[in-house]
Parts: sequence; structure tokens; C-alpha cells
Amino acid sequence: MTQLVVELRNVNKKFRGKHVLHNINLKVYENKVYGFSGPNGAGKTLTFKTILGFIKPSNGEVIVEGKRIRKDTMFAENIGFSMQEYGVLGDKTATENLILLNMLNNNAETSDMSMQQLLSYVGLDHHNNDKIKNYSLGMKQRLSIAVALLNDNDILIFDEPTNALDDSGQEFLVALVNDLKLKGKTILISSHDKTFLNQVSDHIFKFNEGTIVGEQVL
Amino acid sequence: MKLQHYYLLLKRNRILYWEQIRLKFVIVTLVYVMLLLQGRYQQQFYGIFYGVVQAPNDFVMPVQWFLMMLLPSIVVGDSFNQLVKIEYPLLNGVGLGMYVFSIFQIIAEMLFMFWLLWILIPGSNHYYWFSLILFLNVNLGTFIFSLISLFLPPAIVYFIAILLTMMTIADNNLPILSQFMLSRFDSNLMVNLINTVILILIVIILFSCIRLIEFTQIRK
Repeated sequence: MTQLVVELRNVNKKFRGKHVLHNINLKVYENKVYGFSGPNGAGKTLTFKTILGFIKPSNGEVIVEGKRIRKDTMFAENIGFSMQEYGVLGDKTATENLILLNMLNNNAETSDMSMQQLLSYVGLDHHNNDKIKNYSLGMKQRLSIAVALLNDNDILIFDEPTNALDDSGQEFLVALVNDLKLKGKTILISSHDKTFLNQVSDHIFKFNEGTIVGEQVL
Repeated sequence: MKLQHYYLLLKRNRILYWEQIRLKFVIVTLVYVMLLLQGRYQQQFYGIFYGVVQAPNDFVMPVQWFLMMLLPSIVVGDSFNQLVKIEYPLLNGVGLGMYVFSIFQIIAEMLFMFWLLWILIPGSNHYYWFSLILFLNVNLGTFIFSLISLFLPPAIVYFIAILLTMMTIADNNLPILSQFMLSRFDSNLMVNLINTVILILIVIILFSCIRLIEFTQIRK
């Protein structure tokens, strides 16, 4: 039987009196792809940040793999995430950044080779020696995905990964999500692109004004 | 965390910190050098850090002392907030406490550079004990300022810093803060110990609140 890995129970969030998340209830089962659709400001990114523990719900519970976030643990422990606002060092190369993040997060030594394999997996293998500050937005997006995959976590969150990707980039992303699903990963992915979400998702949550207004099983 | 990894964390955070404060640091250093050189020929160390003892029904503004005390907070500004709320999430495998500690160390390194300017440029300085206590207290005060910036908007934090500095100038007997002025400094070991312990306790209380912060900052 598929296991429940993430659950949000009546999650509400208020910022300075404004209700930004409203009674969010959702369940995420392992090895499925969940699409999060909706306009800007609908609450998709905020929901992701709540799952990760970066935001504390005003009330309600977030449970990731049996642990209550911001209660049993501050941050979700087994989730890799890609969010553009969280940056890497612009003056370093992608390999240097990945090695640094891996060493600090996991107290682990890493070989250049394994990082280059990861960069190759996201299509950045020809840019190993380029500094990040010279990357295009699409390349930064791919690097952000590589960062999410760095720890080989079972659950992955991709926030608007289609932004700044051209057609070939989107095709690559569809193939990547399908491959990750084959590897047993659980994926939560937000996008404005409905066609993309329909291509990759098993289940879509539709967000509007801080609440889930609909669900679709594909 | 291994020592080697802590050094890496420091190296990474130093890069990010200096990216944020570089310009402010250069401007403030130039201001300090000008003020201190001016003071060197007029009053030396004693005059620069003397501050003021207000007479009844009179108010004197010790501009040099005011700038000496306030400028470190201006340099740190919102950088601590940015370093924690934007640059930490990708490193959430590192303990948040350890991460914040590493930024404190970087701020202390910067304050040490300022302190060297303070004690070396004015020439003769026989106030070794005061200099040392001042360095310690300015560090603790800046840590408090930085931790408060995690919870309040920058404008309010600046307002609090300016208000406290002005209150110190106006009130001859303001507890703890009057110790930042050479004119009111009590060199009694016990007094200094109690003041420092109180400042450390405030830092510890604020430090224990970092679990409450939310990572919603927007990159500047």
C-alpha cells in the first residue's frame, strides 16, 4: 500500500492580519507527482515553505514522514527543494557550489566526479567551469534543480521550475520528472503552465487566494 | 560539525556578508579615520570616547561619540537578516544556532577592525580596561541589534538603536549603556561583570527565539 508522506491538516497562516493560507488540507502519498496550479499569490509557494518548515502555520499541523514540522523538528528532513529565491554563490562554479552545499549539509566529502554527473543529469555538464553569475536564468533554474537533487531525498519540491525554461528546457523537465518518478521519488511541483502540469502530474491541487479550490486526479 | 566544515561555513558566509556591507564598510571606515585623525590632534583617545556628562537644564550632543557608537549598527544594517532568512534555507542541514554563531563571528571580526582603528589612530591611550570592555560591549550590543532585526522591520530597528544612543547621551546614569562612555565609565570589575552578564543574557534570550523566525525575506 502506498504510504502517506506529507499531510497538511487545517493549515492557516496570517501575515500582519492578512489571511494568506486558508484551511489547507492535503495528503501526499509516496511515489506520486503532485501538481500545484494557480495564479501568482494563490498560496502555492507559501504551502511549500510551510511543508519545508520555513514558515510556521498560525494554526493547523504539517506532518512530514510522521514528524510534526516546527514541533517535533524545525525543518522537514528528507525533502530536496528548488526555489529560485534561495541563492548560491555567484562567484563560484556550479561544481564548487554543489560540493560546498553537500559538505556543509551532510558533513560529507564529495568528489568532483559525482557533482559533474549530477550537473550532467540536469543538462549543465558543458558549463562546469562557468561562474554562476554568468549563467542565464534557464541555467540557474537547472542548477536549482540540481541543488534539490543533491542529497538524494525521497521527496522533492520544485517551485515554478518551468519559469525561464525554453521549449527544449521544458521537454528536459518533463523527462526529468518522469525519470525521478521511476526512481521512486515523490514530487510536488508548481507551475503556471497547465499543459506541463497535466503532462507530469498524477494529481493536481488548484490554488486560489490562499486556499485549495479544486483537485484533479489524472 | 567538523572544524574544517565550520571554516567552510565561515568562508561562505564571509563572502555573502561582505557582498552586502562592502560599500557601507568603506564609507564608515573613511568617516572613522577622519574623525579619529581629527581627534588625534585635538583630544586623543580620551576626548573621542569621553562622551558627555550632562549638566542640569543643559544638553550637549557628543557628536564624535554618537557616531562611534552608532556606525557599526549602520554597517551591519539588514545584512544579518538577509544572511539568515535568504541564505540559510539551502543550508538547513547545518544547525541554525551554529549558522547564526558563524555570522556573529564575522561581525565580531569586522568590529575588531573598527576597534583597532579606535585604539591605534588616536595616539596615546592609557584606558586599556575601558577599551577592552568597550569592544566587548559594542560586540554584544551589535549582536542584540542583529537579532532584533530578525523580528522587526529595519526602520524600527534603526529607530531603537538611535533612541537608545540618544537616551544614553541624555541620561547621565542610564544603566549598562552609560558604561559605553569614558566620562561615566566605572572601572569596578564587579560593575563591568554584571553589565556584561546582563548583555550576554539578552543575547541568549534573543538567540533562543531564533526558532520562531520565518524565512520569508525578499532578496535585495
